[in-house]
Amino acid sequence: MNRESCDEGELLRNYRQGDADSFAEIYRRFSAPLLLYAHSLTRDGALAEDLVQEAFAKLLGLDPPSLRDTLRAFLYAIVRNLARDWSRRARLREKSFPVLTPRAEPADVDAEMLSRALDRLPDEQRETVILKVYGEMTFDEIAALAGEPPGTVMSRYRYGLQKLAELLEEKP
Amino acid sequence: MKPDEVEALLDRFAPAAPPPYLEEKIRRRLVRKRSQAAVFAVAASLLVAGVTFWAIFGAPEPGGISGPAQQTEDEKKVAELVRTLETGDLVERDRAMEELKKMGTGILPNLRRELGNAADAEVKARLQAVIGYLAHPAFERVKEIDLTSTGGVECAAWSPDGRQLAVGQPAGVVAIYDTASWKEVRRLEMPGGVRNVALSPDGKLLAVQGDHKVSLLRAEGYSEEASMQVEAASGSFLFIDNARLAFSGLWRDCVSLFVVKLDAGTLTLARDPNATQPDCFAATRDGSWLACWHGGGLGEPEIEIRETRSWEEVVSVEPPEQRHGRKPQPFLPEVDWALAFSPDSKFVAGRSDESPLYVYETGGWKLMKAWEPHDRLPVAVGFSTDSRYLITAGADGLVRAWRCGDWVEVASANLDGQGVRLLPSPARETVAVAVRFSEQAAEAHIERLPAGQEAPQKLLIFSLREP
Repeated sequence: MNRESCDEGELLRNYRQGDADSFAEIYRRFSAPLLLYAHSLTRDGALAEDLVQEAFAKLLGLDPPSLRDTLRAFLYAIVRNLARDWSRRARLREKSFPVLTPRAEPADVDAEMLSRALDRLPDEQRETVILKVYGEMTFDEIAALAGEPPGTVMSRYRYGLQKLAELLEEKP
Repeated sequence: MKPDEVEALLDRFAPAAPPPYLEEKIRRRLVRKRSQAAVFAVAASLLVAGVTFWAIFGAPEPGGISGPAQQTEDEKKVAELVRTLETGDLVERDRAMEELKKMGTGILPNLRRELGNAADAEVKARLQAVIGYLAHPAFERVKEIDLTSTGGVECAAWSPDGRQLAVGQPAGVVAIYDTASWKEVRRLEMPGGVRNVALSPDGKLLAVQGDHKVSLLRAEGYSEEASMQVEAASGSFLFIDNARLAFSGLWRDCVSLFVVKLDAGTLTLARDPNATQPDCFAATRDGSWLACWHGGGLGEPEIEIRETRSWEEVVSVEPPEQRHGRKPQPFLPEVDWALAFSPDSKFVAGRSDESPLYVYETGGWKLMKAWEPHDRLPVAVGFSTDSRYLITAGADGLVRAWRCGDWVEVASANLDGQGVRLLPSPARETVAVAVRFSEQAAEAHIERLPAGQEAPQKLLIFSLREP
């Protein structure tokens, strides 16, 4: 079975039927961007890992028919809700942001500079940019997750890119 | 730089890869969840059929990574290591045993098969030692009593011999159950309400805390021996010894620790209630020490241990603050503390609403472990009567057993509900998980009430059985 070509629902169904390799594929597809997203919400590496762990545990404990959203939307929503619960009880103590890694040879901007610039975006813009670029979500999916109209999400994305451009052009 | 150039730039980077251990942690957790579900499903169906779980299946064996490929590799490795046990020198055999132990509980069926095939006595002995190390106890649901029609469960206490269970009900009733037949053998009307019940170590006295009064009843005949007017407060309720009772009550508008003594048919104060205002407390089985958990207030949180004759302080430990990095917890306006000594007095375990669960050993008062045993607060704690296992029950609807010493989780069971809370809960918006033990070895008894007024209110009885 070629799991890389399976759709999300098929993977989840296969995993629930005992196919351990389907979990590996689900994890491969979603873990890194999900961790980046969790980290951007919490600024806490250990907590972000816990949130990701919790999200996968919840997802894989579900029967596929009871999953009303896409697998991707479900995972991001869980992480978002958990992070929100957590932030009610804790203050963000330290500002740290995970370093991105270049896919190929980077040019004039290094990963740390980009991470820092992302970190300085307003929360809503940062969330939208991360979900769109690294979470590979559509504007409609982000809108559903954030509980905002799609137009608002598109504006946030556009303003986020503009702000990022300004930040990257700032002299250190 | 234009926005589309920024977009292209972002696309040239990827999120950093998760740490390598994260996938393994998730897999382990999923395997544990599956085994819990399997245990519950089997136990439930067997209860209906009236068939003994253990006679058919033996102990469930959680652990190990699922999937056919992994199992095959494990089988091969087990076979190789068993050959080493047969043919290797002493050092190699010892190493093989250690390797087998590290492979986890998933290999237990293979090991048992190898044990059946083994001819050499030493190999058999070594395999049995590994199986003994890996084999875990498991929870078995013994009884479920639905008390909805009679008002539910407010509190409960075991008689020292485990033969009777006193169940306090919100309507002001204490029902006494015979645990052999699980029939109600006595029903006591308590007009002042029932908040807490406790039985003295010799089983001769039943103490009942009502809203405004603490009563001592002779267990034989249940006639009132003595009483004291005290406004009830949420907290622990226990006999220190056969004559002294400790409970939380209101003293000048403060929740204080009352220690009262039965003396010639009268209850008198054995300690000034002004002395301590703990959030919860626990006594050693012999009654020589009382541990009080002080949540902090203006000071630092601490667990204070006092000798119960002179009331001199034995030690005071300040648990380290470990809030950073905790899992997110739902906000609960009212949560309870928990504290328990192991019956052999070697360990004391406790947690507050803000802290993880701490376990200290009482020899050198060294912190053995601090961790979150459940995903949701509150958490009740207790030890098995043989002191081998710490038992926790949480609002996540699970009860778990942790092996004393290495504090590895060895068994869990589902309380088949959510919103379970600690006993006693004066607010009663959701009520209880309580962990109590009879004197029968290695038995854990858990009672709980699900959330909501309309939910059935049940008493669930579990045993912790060795494989």
